[in-house]
Amino acid sequence: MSALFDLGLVETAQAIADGAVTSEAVTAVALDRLETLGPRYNAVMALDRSGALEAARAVDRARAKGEDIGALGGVPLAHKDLLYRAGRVCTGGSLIRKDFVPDITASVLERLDGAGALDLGTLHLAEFALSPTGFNAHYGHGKSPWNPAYGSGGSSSGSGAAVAARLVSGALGSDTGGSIRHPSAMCGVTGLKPTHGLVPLYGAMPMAPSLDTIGPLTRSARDAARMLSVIAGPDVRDAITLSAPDRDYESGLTGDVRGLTIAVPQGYYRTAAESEILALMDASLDVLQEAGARIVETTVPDMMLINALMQVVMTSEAAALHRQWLSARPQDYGAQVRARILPGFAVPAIRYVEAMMMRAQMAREWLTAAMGAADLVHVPTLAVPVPSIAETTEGAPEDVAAAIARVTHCTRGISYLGLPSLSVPCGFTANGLPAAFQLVGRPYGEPVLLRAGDAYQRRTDFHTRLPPECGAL
Amino acid sequence: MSETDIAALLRTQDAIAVTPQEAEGLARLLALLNDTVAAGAAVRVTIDSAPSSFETLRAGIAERGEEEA
Repeated sequence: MSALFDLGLVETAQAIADGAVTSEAVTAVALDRLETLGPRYNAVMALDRSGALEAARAVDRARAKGEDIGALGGVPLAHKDLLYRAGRVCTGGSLIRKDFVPDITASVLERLDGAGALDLGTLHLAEFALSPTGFNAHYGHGKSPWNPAYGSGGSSSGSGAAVAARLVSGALGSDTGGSIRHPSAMCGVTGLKPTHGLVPLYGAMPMAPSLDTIGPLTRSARDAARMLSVIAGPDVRDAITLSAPDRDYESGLTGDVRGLTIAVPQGYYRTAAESEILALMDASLDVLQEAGARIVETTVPDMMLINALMQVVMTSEAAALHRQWLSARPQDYGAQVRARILPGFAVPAIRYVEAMMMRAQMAREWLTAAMGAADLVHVPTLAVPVPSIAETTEGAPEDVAAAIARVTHCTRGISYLGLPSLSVPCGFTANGLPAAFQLVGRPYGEPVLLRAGDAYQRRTDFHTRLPPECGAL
Repeated sequence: MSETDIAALLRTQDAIAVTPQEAEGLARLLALLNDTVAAGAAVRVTIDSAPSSFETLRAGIAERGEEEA
């Protein structure tokens, strides 16, 4: 068995269930790492050491008595600090909510609790979940475990860094325009942005509810499947989930991709990709092809329109949610965050309504062009190497804006389309930072994405690589 | 909408003050968003296109089980 800190989520759950390790031992290791390595990467907001250890001992006692401890029994996790737990401070990464204590618990946290998982505390995020790089004017920038001069990606910055640095084996994040996929790609972990409406949003601080999703960041696709099986499915407290399937996402992970057809859209995604990213994309396609998948070239529809539609929806909804605070407490918003919200105040209502009315049609157009008769689509997660923190925070405003826009080039449109996407690490660029591809599916197509992602990871080891200073304490 | 109009709109409608630089950037961006979305809607949104929503698309796919490869 690997060192306790290096166990994946499923491995940890199995080891505890088998009695090979105790939850208390694994949890103590996670807490030590969160406390010592967490600050180095600005990954942690708050921890509950005594509560976590007590919960771990309770799981160990239950197991000793032969009780069912659940699919995640005794596994220590921590999550983005925008998921409400009754009685615990939830900052949303903001100054305005630094002391906010919700009186409800998020559905996803209740479901993880029900599966026996432990919640060690809260993880860093961009202010109000509004930065793709991990920028936070109040709590500092999220930093990459691969090189702290580079951003961890956002907005689920702490979730990406914590999983990459082996502080926890899994963490929830949220994704409105790429906020699970950016930190997954930039930190070298696996991240699943589910279909909009598959995972309930009840008890999660919203950013733009029509686009918001909650999903796992883990080491592997198998780990993500385990977490998704727990958190997905209908919830009467969030009506958008009522048609969502309730299924086991792990059982289809056979390692076999024979019979699958993977579409590779030409144009928008690949023309923006730098040559070293393209080389890594092609190498990952070779792996999938050698495993038996068929690769076909496709096209994309008008991505400028899709990106504009996304921006209209996101900024309009964010403006509605932030209007009162932006008016009364403008000084409490970071400049980048304010700039992302402001357009929503001047978007005409008719444009917002048109954007919402066109959503299903645009999803069909994208699926027809980009996927065609294939089963899934393969595109880069980031078309460029991970930028340094300086590149996205310093210099001329137009240069900073352009650097940030490059991070979201391949992710934001998919959020408007509501489609599921799995980001999978696939190598490293010349700066030593990770790169990743994303597999995009039809609505509720998560099983196919996880199957292909798992098959790829059975044949590669990028998802197992340990950042240089994240070994044993 | 001009920079001046945007600054006035935000101030009077939502009590939000913006700098001249912010107003200039907003004017550019909003013109682009407005034109792009309006052009896209002109060929897609008709009186009979509603009700059409992502939720309906998703529910239909779930009903037919199309997500399985």
